[in-house]
Amino acid sequence: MSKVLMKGNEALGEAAVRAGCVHFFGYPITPQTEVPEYLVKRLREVGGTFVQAESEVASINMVMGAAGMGVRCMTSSSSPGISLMAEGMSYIAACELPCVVINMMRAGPGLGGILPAQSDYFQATRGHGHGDYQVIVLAPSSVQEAVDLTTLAFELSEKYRNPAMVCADGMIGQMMEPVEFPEEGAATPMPENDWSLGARDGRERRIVNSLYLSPEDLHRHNLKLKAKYDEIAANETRQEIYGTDDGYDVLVVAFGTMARICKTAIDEVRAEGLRVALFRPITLNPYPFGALRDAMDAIEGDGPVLDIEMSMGQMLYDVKLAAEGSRRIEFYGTAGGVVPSPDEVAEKIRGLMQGVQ
Amino acid sequence: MTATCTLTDCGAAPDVEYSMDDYAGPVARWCPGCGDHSVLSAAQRLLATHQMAPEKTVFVSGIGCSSRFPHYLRTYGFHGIHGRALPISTGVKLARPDLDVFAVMGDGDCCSIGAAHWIHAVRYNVNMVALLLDNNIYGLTKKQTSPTTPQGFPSNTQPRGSILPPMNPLSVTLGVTNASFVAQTADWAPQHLYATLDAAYRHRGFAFVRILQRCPIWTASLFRDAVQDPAKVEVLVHEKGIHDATTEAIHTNHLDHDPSDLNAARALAEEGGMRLGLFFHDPTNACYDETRRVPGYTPEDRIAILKRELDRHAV
Repeated sequence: MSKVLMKGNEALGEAAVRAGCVHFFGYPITPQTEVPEYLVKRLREVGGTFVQAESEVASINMVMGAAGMGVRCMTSSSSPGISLMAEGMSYIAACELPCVVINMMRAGPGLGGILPAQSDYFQATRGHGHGDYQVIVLAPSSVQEAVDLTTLAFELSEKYRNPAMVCADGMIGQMMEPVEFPEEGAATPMPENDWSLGARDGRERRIVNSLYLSPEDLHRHNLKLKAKYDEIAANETRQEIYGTDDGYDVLVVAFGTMARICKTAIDEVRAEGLRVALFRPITLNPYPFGALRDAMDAIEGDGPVLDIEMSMGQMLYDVKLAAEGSRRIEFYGTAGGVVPSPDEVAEKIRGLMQGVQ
Repeated sequence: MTATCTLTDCGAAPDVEYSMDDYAGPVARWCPGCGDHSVLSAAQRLLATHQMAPEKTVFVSGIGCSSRFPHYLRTYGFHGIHGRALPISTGVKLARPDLDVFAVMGDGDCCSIGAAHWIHAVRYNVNMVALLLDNNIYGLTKKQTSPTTPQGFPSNTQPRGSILPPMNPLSVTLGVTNASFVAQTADWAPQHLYATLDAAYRHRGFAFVRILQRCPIWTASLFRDAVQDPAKVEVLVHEKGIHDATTEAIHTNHLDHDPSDLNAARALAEEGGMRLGLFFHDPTNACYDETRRVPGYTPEDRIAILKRELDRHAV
């Protein structure tokens, strides 16, 4: 199939349809509103359901209801809307139901602004709501990758019966890029299972539930969830390493839109002879701790790690966890919807390199 | 079952016939005397009457005493989130329009934390039955004021008596444009309760049933008069309404009310009192699950649509 030029939000919607998603429940919020606006039309064409719910709280609960029926479903929102979905996410994870949630992050806190940010890293990776649960979090850095990761999000959410989030930002949602999709109809329908309420013939009673009043039972349930999260961490981490060909003295760590800007900056400084590499986590949860540590250990000499985010330093904590004190960690971040230019990032790298050399 | 063909029997398994027992789950652990037992029995009877396949029926609940409901039935169940039984049910019904969906809520669930969902569920008019088990109190958490607690009634959170006049769930529902079925019944009038559930189930659209429900622990006094003195209860009667001879014989106070008259229904609801019956019924309102449903496409149709769509974006 040839490439088409599409806006990120619309491409994401198309990717969901190609992944076999047939139910969408959402609420308008900038900068993700084109996702529902695209799907209202597309889902009609494929015989699916689109609902503009009365709130994000309702959206995530409608998703929970549909997910319990064993059908592929999703919602999408942006930062303040995701906060409202926190409760539902906890219950969906506890009930072990699969669904996909898109977050086109915008700047906070509070109402904040509508420009891109990465300040929901904690929210996405450290749980949104209460209880010991986790959500699979995938962070695309281009429209094409947003398409690919949306497909993957549906796969992983069903494989592990857990919510999966595509955590992008307003930049990716609003940008137009050439993009290629999987073939229409290639997605297999959700297989028959022993957990959903969607039976089409006589079967044993089932109940979707997250209440365990006996502490022993709840303990067992938590252990089961933990085993699942461990399995996800062991099998599903994904990352990209860039600019390592001839060794490197500094390692930049960034994700999503920021990583893409860092790539351009790294090209710029490498042309000047500075040896800088990029580590880009694609899965924010599970976080690729092992691969990042290996990349840090491969830095020549005692060169530092430079973590760059469109936040005041959230992934920074995971970078420090990966380093376990073995290396100096520097941080550069912007907030409020201010997106650093490649030149600004290059300047930061140059400044850092002066200290190294 | 082994299929054996004889002259009089083709060997196919006979249609399953469900009895009330087939719908019974584990023993209900509500307090003795709790009105919820009565609602559960009526629901089982309804299931048996309509021979609803257990796996084609979903009871969705929120939090509170009422939320135990799905656990005590052998149908499919969905023990959801406090206040969210209605959006969950909406999701269930839109994903699987062929299933029968019942949302069971308490007064905290529906009228407090889930009030926004309630208003919009009435608007959506999704084809389902919503049961409000209204005991006028937060029971499970042991006596806190709920939106329907009568003014002056003491609780652990408002010990000098409920500060505000109570919310009237019938008025609220009837005030929402697109309301299509609003009825009130009581747990201590089992025949009327069953007849109301039956009418609600037969209604095409969002059937809202407020069930006056005794809490023997915290609000027994609120319902005692009505339970002990049939004259305290008024029954709405009309040829288009809910008709139950037993109830009408016990409660001789009858009020003629045409349930197709919205203004009369609103006025009646606003007056309050222990009135049982069908306040409002309009079976012509559009159902969201039907208006949102679209015809299925063949793979060829889909490819054609897709090509047309992608042509717009081709570079």
